[in-house]
Amino acid sequence: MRSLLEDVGAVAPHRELLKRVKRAAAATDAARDAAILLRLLENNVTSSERELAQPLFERLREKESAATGDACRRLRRARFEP
Amino acid sequence: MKPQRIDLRGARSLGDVAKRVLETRLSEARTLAGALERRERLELHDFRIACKRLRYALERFEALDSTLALAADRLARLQDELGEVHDRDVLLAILPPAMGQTERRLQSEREACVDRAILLWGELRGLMQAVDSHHF
Repeated sequence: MRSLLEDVGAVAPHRELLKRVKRAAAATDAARDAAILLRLLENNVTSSERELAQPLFERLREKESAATGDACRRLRRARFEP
Repeated sequence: MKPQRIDLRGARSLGDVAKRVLETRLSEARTLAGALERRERLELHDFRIACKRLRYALERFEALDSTLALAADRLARLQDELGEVHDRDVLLAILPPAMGQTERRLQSEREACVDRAILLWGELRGLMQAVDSHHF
């Protein structure tokens, strides 16, 4: 939807809608990114370095939880009418 | 990177709109494709975003021509590889310095993803030429 609005922006500008779509996309991207980074770290950390990675695991878990909660709240409130 | 604004004034048909949108998004992707050779993080990120915009544009107009769907499918695979590169770049940037083994593993996977992205972009060139010279 964001891409469509950007492509036709010259003839059908919907600036407010584009802003809302961008905010919704940013919120879902943040939740997705945190979850992916966590899985990527879990799959790649070597056994000898797992202990060193614990603080990073903690940070990513907190971020995943916070970003997912934030995305759910924003999407519940989001309105996409033009 | 902000998308280039597309001048749609005077477009008389859906075919006109498709041609202008695809030309613009294709030009953006081609301009940024040098990132694959240089393998630099931010350049690859911009190229990935340009590929995403081009893919969505191709999918939007694929009912006009089935070759667009084929190009969009290949582009989706390229975008997947570039996404894997990006995820590893983000993780590498926050990895504690003492985690050298994990870093090398991630770095090696990243380079393999860039190699596959280069092959996919090469495969896409022919398809893109067809899109470029197409009249809707």
